[in-house]
Amino acid sequence: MSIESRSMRTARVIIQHRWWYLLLTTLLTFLTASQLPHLKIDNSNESFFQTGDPTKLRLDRFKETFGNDDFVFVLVDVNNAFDPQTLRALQGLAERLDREVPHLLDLTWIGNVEWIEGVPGGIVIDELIPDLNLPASELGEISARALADPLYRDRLVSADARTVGILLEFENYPELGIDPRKESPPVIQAIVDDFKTFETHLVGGPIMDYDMDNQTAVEAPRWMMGALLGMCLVLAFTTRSVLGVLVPAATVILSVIWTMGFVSMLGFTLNLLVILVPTLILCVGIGDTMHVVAELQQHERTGLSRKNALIATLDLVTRPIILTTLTTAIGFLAFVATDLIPLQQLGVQAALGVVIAFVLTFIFAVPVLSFRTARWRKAETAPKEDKKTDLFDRLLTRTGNFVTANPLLIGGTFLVLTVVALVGMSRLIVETNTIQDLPNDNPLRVAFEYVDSKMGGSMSIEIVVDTRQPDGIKNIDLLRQVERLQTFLGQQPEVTQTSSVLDQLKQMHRAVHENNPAAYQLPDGSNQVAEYLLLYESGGGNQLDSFVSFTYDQIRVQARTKSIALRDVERLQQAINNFVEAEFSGNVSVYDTGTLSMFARIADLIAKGQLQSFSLAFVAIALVMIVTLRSIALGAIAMIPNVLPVVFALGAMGWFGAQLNMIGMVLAPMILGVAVDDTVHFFVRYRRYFHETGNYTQAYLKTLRTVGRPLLFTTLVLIVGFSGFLLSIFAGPRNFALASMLAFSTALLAEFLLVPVLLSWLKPLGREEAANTVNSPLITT
Amino acid sequence: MHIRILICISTLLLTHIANATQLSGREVALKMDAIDTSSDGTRDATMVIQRGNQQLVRKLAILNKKFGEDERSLIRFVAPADVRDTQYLSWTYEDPQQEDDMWVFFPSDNLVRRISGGGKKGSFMRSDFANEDIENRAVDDDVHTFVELSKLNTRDVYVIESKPIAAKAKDSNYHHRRSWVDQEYWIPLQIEYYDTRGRLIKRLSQGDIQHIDGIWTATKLVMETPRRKSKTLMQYDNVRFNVGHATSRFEQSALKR
Repeated sequence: MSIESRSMRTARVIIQHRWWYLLLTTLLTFLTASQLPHLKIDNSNESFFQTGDPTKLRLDRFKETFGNDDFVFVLVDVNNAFDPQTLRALQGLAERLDREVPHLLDLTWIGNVEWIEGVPGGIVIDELIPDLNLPASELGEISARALADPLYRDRLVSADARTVGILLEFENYPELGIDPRKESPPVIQAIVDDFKTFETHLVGGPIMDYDMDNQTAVEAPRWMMGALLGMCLVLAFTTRSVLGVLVPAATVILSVIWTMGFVSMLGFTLNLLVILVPTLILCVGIGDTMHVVAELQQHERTGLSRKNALIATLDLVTRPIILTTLTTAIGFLAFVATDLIPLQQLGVQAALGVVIAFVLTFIFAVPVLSFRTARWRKAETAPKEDKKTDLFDRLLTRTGNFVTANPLLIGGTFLVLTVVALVGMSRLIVETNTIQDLPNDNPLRVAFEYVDSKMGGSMSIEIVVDTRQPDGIKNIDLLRQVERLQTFLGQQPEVTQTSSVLDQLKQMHRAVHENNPAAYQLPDGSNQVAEYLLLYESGGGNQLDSFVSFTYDQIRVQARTKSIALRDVERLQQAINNFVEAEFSGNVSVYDTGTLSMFARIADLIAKGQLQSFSLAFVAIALVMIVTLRSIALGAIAMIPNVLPVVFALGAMGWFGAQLNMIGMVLAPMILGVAVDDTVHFFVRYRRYFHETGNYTQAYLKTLRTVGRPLLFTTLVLIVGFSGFLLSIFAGPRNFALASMLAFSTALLAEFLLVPVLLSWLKPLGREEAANTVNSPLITT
Repeated sequence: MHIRILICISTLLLTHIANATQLSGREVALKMDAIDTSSDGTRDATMVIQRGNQQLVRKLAILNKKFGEDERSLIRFVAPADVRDTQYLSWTYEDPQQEDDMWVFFPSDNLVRRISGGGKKGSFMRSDFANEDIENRAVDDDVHTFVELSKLNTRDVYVIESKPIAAKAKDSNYHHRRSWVDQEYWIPLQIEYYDTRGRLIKRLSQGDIQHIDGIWTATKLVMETPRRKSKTLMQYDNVRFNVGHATSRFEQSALKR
């Protein structure tokens, strides 16, 4: 039994039981829609990594040793940080933060930070400002001391004393169902909002994630509405009928509801990447129904009844639709081969959405279209002659004539453009620092840049020196090595500040030696180190747990940087690695971790994942094409119009300097999976017409005339649909949209222009039958 | 019927009498303060600090001597080896207005330095004990409130709440402490430490109470910090009272070898 007749029988069954199918659709829609409120958003960098990822493991180990590295920095603009009135007002703010912010472990600011000082015969361990009501003259002295000391300057107060930082550090979060990390930012925001006299800026990991989450919640509906609106306009323009707009639109909306409902049931969280999924499903899923509608309109024009026209339509499109669903799903599933969790989730969810859109085409769109009362506009069923002057027909006719007349020009142009695009691809830059992806006036970016300019940097790379033996870090020789490492870090152009427990040891050494500035250095022997650490830990020593491991086997050196681009992170990492290899012996393990290391790791995974997922999608789709077209040669030619769009899109990004971030990584396999839809429809029809006519040119022109129209329309809808991403405030989704739009246009152009040229040159379907004239134009205007 | 009324009345009366004999929070605190009748003492302390699956062991020798209401103590570190013979001498005063004195001796530098200022809130040798938990706290450094009579592990206890007076609040990590004080030994069997938000920070359990030289003494202390998943066991051995330490041992000049 051939697949065509099976399709026809399926069509009859669906039409016969249409009410049952619609009921089923309604029930499942209610079920899935009820799950939507449970969807959760998570944008933390850690959520990107698999449990076994070495970078994640290192970060976990780091957190276990030195505590939660999460912090929020509240920056307050003031006229003079050491003015008594300002100090009292700041204390009010600090006290409220201390009292109300959830999961707070420690709050540090100039009003409560410790101060260690040597005096004749003694050491004073006190607060920097023991009393906020001190006379102005004494506060002036304290100000001078604090601004001269690197432990405070540009950390808790800017060098010009006009910015005060309140540092909030968090406990290791309890492992509860809700995300405790998300609890503090709204509380902090509400408190600083109450202090209207202050201009404040907030930075830090939790703030960034919270902002991104909020942005995510705003962006997704915006993209979807943009895409949907654009697509409806194109549908209205191309089908000229209410039904032609409503049925495809309703089908994809239902597909999105079902998919997100299932996603919620499966317990996935949403992030800035996964929220691409609904819009992707809208754009990619609409093709199935559009082909049905376009073909149905054509069949009804020949005078067939609605039911018979629908059966004939399904006979023609079921096979290619199954194939396109399969290939698109493969394109998305290829992301499972990557090591980044959000991408894997996106892959699975988008593939699920594509399959759901296919199912809904049959159990929802077909039953709805089968009702005789669902009429097209009268003009749509008018005699075919009336439509000959249609803009799209004219366009397709001219295309056909142009291609048959200028094969060399077309082949040559594509060759040149491909070379240009390949050069562009080599210029692509990967960027994973999300802050760099924000517009210049975004408050979050402004806050980060404020910290960069005023307080010596908003990001950090953490270096851990692990001696692998208890008390190992009390060894003075090792400490001298660490001191050289810290000095080296301080000399790097990206680094604005460094800190480690060596700072405290030097401070302690100076204090023991009655504040002699020359004594601001490491102690002479290991025993002194132990004794100073003992005094430091007994005398307040808040910082000890953050910088020295519990059993004194590991030491942490922090290098603060501005919000730097990925290439600078990579350079810094390389410089550190080189230094460590030259300076440290094999008994000591030195590794980097923290935010910047994660950016670098994500970039690695992007580069690797891009290649893996693209290769996987390419091989799988090529196999499907070869099997479907029952010809290796034809399958191979069919891959050309699918790979070219990827090359063109990435090439254009390279030339225009657009940065490739995680969203960009979606591009290649997705383009491949989507572009192949055109190819499937085109080649399946081409092969059929070649067997009918025995002539490559005639097969091409007939293909163009029949399936060309829906292909043009689906591409138009895709392009307009993807323009929804242009509404994003992030550069990533906007670049993604532009690159995709270029890719889909390229795919269609390659299909219409390049493929016929290649087919007529390479003749993969065998020799032409002599009866047919090769170059006779079949389409006349 | 008459008997029932009689029972009711006597119950009410008894309750009233019981309430009348019940101690106030400050009276309980005074009782606790009064149990140590010794003039001086000595003990060896072993601290085992556990955090996750890591642990640190610290050993100290502690001497103390009372000077009227005031007290002086000398702590000498025995282990780990790298801090052996480092010594802390502290003089604590009953008068809340007078700041305590402290000196430290660094054997490597052979230097004595007077330590002044804060540090009370800091952790004691990275343990779960803060310096303020270890030191002898004057009764009137806190305002004590009676909470209830209760039982803890079959023992009758007074539950009191102690909140630092305004002058001392700045030097304390805690908003208040809640103590379960044994009604026989006048030793708190359990103390819970709370922050300003009323969240439990730490919990101390005291046990292995021995009658040494006529004085009830808890020799095993466990301080837990649930949020950090850490705990510290403090074990006192060789406890002796009234040994007759010379006053000169508690002078800073005696710190240097």
